[in-house]
Amino acid sequence: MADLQKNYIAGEWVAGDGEVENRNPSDLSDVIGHYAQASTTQLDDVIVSAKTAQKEWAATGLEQKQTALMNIGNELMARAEELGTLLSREEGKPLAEGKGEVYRAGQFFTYYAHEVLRQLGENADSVRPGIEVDVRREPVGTVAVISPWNFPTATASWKIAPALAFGNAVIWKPANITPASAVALTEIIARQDLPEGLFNLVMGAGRAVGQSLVESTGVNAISFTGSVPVGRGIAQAAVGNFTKLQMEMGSKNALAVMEDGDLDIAVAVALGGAFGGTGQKCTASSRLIVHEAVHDTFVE
Amino acid sequence: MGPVVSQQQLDENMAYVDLGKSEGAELACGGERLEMGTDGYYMSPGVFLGTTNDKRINREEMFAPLTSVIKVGSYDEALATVNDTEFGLTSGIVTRDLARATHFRRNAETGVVTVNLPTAGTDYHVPFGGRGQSSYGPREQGTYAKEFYTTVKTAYIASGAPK
Repeated sequence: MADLQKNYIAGEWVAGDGEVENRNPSDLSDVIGHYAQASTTQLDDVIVSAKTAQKEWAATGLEQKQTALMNIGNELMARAEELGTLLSREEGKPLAEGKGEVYRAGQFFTYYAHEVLRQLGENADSVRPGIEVDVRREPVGTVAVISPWNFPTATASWKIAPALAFGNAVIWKPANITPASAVALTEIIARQDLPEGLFNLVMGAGRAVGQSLVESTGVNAISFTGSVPVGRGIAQAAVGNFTKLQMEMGSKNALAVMEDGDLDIAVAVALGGAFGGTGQKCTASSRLIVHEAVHDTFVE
Repeated sequence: MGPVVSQQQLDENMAYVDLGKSEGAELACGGERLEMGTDGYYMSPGVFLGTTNDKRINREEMFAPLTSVIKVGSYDEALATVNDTEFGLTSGIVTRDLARATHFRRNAETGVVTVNLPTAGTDYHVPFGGRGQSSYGPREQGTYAKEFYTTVKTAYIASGAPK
């Protein structure tokens, strides 16, 4: 395929084991591109190189880390229009939401760039005389980031930015239906002064590359956003290896509208909460719980 | 509002529209497949009325532009209904009563609470996450993220006396 978009593994852009087509959900005649699917062999390579790169990154000076993160954030914000348009083209959200998301993703990187310099530990005197205690944080190692399609750039960024800021290597498996945003963010990260293999993109199906990733003993932590059933499977795999785990999954968020509330605010808040992002947000209001005294007026 | 993301999502959403109706809810508006200028996964946002919190459309995450209006008779019933779910990510209240707003903020069983604001829309410098089946493990975002991305080392040092 002429328009094949590749995975980024151990510092190289590489083709994979097959590919998927990415189409615009607003216009199915619009093919955005074809995206390489990482093989399990490639995943093994990623895990080895990430481990070496992480050690180098952990020993890298704070200012170099901060600069890399600032550069990523600033470029995302500067290119929010262009990359937001691409995001909307593959995810379907209105352009304003796509651009806003990319800008917000940039803010996650600049925020965590600053956190690089705020890593202070604690210290204490031992209960035993003449002994000091030093408490400090260290990176967890290699982090698997498994991100969803509904906020393909922002959710990935709020995981990748702190992972890098705190000295970890990242293996990113984005949702397979929003790969263009993943490649775009990876291109920006790949241009920074990072050890080869520190940051890796492995596109592919959750049941294939995702499953291998979460079962790997070479992964030290997994940050996942997605569905409850997938999360349950990840948890089982992670617990078997005692892999550190963080997951954000389903919701059934409720908005309570009381009879003493401002009805204009209630309607605006309800509509924004229920239908922003086409309802495809984990924070969407899918239950509007309305006091009977204002129910009929609210519904109208 | 844009289209939904895929044919599978659209099919699931339409199945939820049918389920809601079969459970006795009134589809007040929307919830229909839309034909637009281009061929895409378009549907109109839908609102269910006359439904109760025990129905499947009010218990399962649909991830769709569909919402239900559930009528309650009091603040206490509203709070109980908000909390009657396996999930616990966000919740909100619209009120001008400080006592209710405070009580809700302290008793809603969710990781995020909003007062006179949508349940969606969060900042990047403060923690984000939920309870129940919504989240597992340390919070994301803000400085809380370091709980997940770092591990703590406690070092004991006996330096001895200088010679």
